[in-house]
Amino acid sequence: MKGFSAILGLVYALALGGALGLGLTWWATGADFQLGALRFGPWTAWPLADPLGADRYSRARIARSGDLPLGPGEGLAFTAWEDSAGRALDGTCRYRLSAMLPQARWWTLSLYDRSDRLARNPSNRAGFTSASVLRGEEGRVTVTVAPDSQPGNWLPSSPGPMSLILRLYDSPISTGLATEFGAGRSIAVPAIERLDCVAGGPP
Amino acid sequence: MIRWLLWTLAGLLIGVVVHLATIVTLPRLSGQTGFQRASAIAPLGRFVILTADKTPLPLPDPAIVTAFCRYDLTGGPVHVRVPLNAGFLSVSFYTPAGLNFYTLTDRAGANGALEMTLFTLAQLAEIRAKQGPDLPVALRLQAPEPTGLIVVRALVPEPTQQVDVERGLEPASCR
Repeated sequence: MKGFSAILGLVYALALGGALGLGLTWWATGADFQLGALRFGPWTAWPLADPLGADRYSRARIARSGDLPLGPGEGLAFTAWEDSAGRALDGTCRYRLSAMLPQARWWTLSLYDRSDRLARNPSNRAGFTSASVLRGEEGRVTVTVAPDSQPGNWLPSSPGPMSLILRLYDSPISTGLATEFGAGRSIAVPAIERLDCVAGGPP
Repeated sequence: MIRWLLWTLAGLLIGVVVHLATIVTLPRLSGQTGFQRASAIAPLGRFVILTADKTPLPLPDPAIVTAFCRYDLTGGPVHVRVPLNAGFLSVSFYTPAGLNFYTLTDRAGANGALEMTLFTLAQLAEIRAKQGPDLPVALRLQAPEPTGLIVVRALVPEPTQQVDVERGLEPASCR
């Protein structure tokens, strides 16, 4: 009876340890784990000042992402999964992004679906660049993400969860923010304002 | 009761060990890292040019045309030449761990192209002993490992320039 209890205890300890360890790793390499992350409103980026000296957690996160991240002198990608009020982005809603965009020689804004693929639509438009976007007064940029046609810069969305990525290329921000000197500095990223949702969309 | 408390403690300890072990081995065991995905399609000593819908990397930027080239310095230094276009262009070097160890952007270009030569530490020491200090004409880079990936990212500012940017990259070389 005592031996049975010991085996049961060992199985319990191994199951607990395995689930805990793997769960912790999964969480620590995903987007919810904010070690080394920079947050500006709804936007998150993971700048690395010295990629070769990256810690084990950053290496594991990069490995799991399946991507080759932009270098420190190359640019920085900011991802948003939620609007400025913290509600998950959904293709049935209308969103307005408006900002004086931060200093970068070039930037792009792209829309992705729930499986991280580029948004597909009849107009074949999944993003804007700093050169292709229409500008308002004083260089202000306004982009509307919506399922139905909008005046101005319209990014067509399809129903379901989605994400936006703002990439700054050759920007002093990509090098500056990753250093001690840049820590605590803020930059002008666009707010993501939810205007309304079609019937049947999220509350 | 005490016995189960001890088993729980053992479980927590096993959890910490499993967590640390998987964090360390994930880059090697994943099989789906960015480096592995790109290496699968990148030729050795030649660039392959891919549009956003063809790239093996996730979450591609639709306005970026990417070119991949694998290098192996065991056969000698590798010379890289990438012609510039109207928009942003960068040449980035990655170690097999998928870490960016050097980037050059179009601002460093001269005569309409970005040019550099990649060496191992031993090759660099040898050429310096032979020729003296670095000549300013050619950029010399020291690679931390003998193999790796070169990734060129070229921005297409307006959709109408897509074909021009793709064609502009065709003369790019990495031999």
